[in-house]
Amino acid sequence: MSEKFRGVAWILAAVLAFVVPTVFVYQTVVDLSSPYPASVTAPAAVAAAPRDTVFVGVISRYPSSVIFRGYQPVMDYLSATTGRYFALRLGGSYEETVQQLVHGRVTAAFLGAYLYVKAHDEYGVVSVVQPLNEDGVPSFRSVLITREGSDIRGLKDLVGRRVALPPELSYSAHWLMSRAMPMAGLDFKSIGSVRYLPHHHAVVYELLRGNADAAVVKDRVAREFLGRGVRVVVTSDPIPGAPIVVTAKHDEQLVAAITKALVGLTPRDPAFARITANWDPEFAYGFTRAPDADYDRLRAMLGLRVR
Amino acid sequence: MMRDTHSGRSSLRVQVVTTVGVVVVALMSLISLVVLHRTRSQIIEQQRQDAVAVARTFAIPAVDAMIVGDQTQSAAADVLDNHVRTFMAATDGAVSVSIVDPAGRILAHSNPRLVNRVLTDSMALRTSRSAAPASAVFQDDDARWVIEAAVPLQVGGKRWGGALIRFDAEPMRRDIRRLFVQLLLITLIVTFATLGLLYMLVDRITSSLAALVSEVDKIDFESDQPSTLEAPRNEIGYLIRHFDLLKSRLAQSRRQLTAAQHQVYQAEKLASVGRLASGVAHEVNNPLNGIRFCVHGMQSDPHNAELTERYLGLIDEGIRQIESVVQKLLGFARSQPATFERISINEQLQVVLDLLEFQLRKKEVVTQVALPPDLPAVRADATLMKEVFMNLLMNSIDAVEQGGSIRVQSGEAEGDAVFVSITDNGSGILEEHTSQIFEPFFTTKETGRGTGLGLSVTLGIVELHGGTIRVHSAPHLQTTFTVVLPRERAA
Ligand SMILES: Nc1ncnc2c1ncn2[C@@H]1O[C@H](COP(=O)(O)OP(=O)(O)OP(=O)(O)O)[C@@H](O)[C@H]1O
Ligand SMILES: [Mg+2]
Repeated sequence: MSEKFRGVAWILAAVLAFVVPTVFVYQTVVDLSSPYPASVTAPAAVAAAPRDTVFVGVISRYPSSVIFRGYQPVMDYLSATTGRYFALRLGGSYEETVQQLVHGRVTAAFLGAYLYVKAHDEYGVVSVVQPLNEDGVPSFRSVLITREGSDIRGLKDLVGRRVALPPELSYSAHWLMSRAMPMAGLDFKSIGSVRYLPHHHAVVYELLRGNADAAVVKDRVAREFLGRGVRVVVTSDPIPGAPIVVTAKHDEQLVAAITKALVGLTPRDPAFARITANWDPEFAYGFTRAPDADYDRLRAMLGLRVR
Repeated sequence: MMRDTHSGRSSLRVQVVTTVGVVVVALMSLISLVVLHRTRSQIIEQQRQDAVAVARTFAIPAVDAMIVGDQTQSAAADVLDNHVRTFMAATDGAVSVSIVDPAGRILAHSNPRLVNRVLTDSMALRTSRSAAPASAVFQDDDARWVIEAAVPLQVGGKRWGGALIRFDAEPMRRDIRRLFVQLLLITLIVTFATLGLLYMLVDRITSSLAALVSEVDKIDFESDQPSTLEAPRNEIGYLIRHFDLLKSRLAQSRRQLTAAQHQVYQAEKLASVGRLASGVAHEVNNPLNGIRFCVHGMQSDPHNAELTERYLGLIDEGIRQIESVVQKLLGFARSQPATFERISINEQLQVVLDLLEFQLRKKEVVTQVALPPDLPAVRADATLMKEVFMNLLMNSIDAVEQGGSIRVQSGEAEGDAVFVSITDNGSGILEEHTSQIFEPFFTTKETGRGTGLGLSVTLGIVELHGGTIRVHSAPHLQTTFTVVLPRERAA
């Protein structure tokens, strides 16, 4: 009798010894709680824009999200190196950015070379620095592009075709209409249709969608799409880089700080690659000073008065 | 006895099954736990990564909307609301989305009523300010398991806030639960299958052992027949084969023992006869001398009829005397195989005493004989009994001094038995010899006087009759050998 009871007790103990841990493991396993990593619970300090924020304008050469992602890191760099807080203030058009600058809503602005020459004449704005290209030279080119497989081989093939261009105040638009066509002995009126789009990327998309047969954009933008359905047909002569400008009544100290920060950062700098990793591709080779005289070459090309 | 073997067998089985069972359960549990832990971690990690990936994708257009909102100086709220709504509709398992500005104000939410509320939950506030995408799994306010991914809405140093996206974690939990059940089932199946197999195996082994044990129990050493067990081709079979060998060796040594005993018996008999012969020669010599003296007298005076008549009477008496001696000798040496019949112990004792009469007389032994006439008969072999008494009496005669005394007594003993005791006042037996005297060839007598077989043969005969023999000795006072025989020999 007692032996039988002992046997039953043993079996019960064995079953318990299995069931209790099993239940425990089950409870542990279905409790999925896994918290945020500690770094998340110690959040980044939220920087509120201070009163003396330096607002910087950018002409609407690209979609605003593209500009923001490429230019905000430049602002972060300036904030970190100059001791002032820099923030972007994007304009809705090329003209708006000039107006923002003139009316003091922005302290500095990224303009196009062509737009600068005009704004310099009109409002006396001053160029400070300009980006370098891959050859270490402060210049860029405009390119006539078409879709891969298109029969357009030169400017003369544009006759009767649809052409998409960036805003009229961009050098690219100006180059095709006022320089490339006339120099090729063609009348821009012979182009089937011309459409001006808000920015360079929109121009390329329009070309790729087939709503245009050819387009002109900055070489930096064309390069983004090489090998993705875009072919370069004609390349312009080099023209001076698109400058960062300030008004005539500028804060010398601030301008010196900006100049020092941007010109002082060269590709030879070991930190260069890390710092510029997220910068717009146009700024991938650093900056150099942009004396107004650099733009005389452009003025000459445009047939403008050289001071 | 039977119970013992049985419980010993089952305890072996319980031991083996329990031990292996515990080991198997432990091993399987360990493997299952490792698999469970790893797979679970993988599932959770994968789901968290997926959640973060989806949240990152969600953040791109949200940031675009913020940028455009900033640029056009208009609230991005409409675009964000639209984005949230589209996202919720398009994403399976999305539970909620909230976009929180750096101050903790909700800019957009999958539940529009929450828009513009300010977060007070410090945890949510913190995660909404996370600098890098991250995720967590927890139970929400409705006790539903969710994976929350937090992504910053940020470009470089410009921050618009953070997005917190919750996904349903119940399917993941179901997967993990299913995994748990599967592993548990596998563990149980493997365990029980192993234990079942083991149980059967041990059962086979123990039942073979049990068969072997019962075979040992009913072993018949008289027979040379090999055991009836079939020997399986394993260790048990090996055991059975060797058991058979052992059995045949036992039988063989028994046969050898029997043969040896027979030889010993024969040798002892010869020895006894030899020693008897010396007594007998004397017994025969006396009448023979008388007869020769008479014949001589008759030859020297052949015509003396009176003398001749007297001498012939003497010769006849001598011959009768010789005849009786020969008769006695023949009676002792007769009948080889043991034949049990109802005999009178007293009669046999008397025959032996008559045979030894000369030796007793020569040593001037004072012999007392107390044999109650009504002693019950005993079933025994007469010749063997005479040999027993002959051996004991000869030992006493050897032991006593000239003129010593020997008492021979018989009577009824306890338990339906009869006893015979022979007591002498001879040299006696040393304490250290009492355990050896029944061994064959143990003797204290000089060479040629004793073989040392007498008592060992005596013991063999007494035991054959189911009786016992005891000795009690106080040297030079008295030494008593007592033989107790059952009246009917036990089967
Ligand atoms: N009545 C006795 N008194 C003293 N010693 C005895 C007596 N009976 C036996 N013994 C001792 O036991 C020994 C063994 O006796 P056992 O009869 O076996 O052999 P044995 O008498 O020596 O030789 P045998 O084979 O001729 O009888 C004797 O040698 C003797 O020492
Ligand atoms: Mg003897």
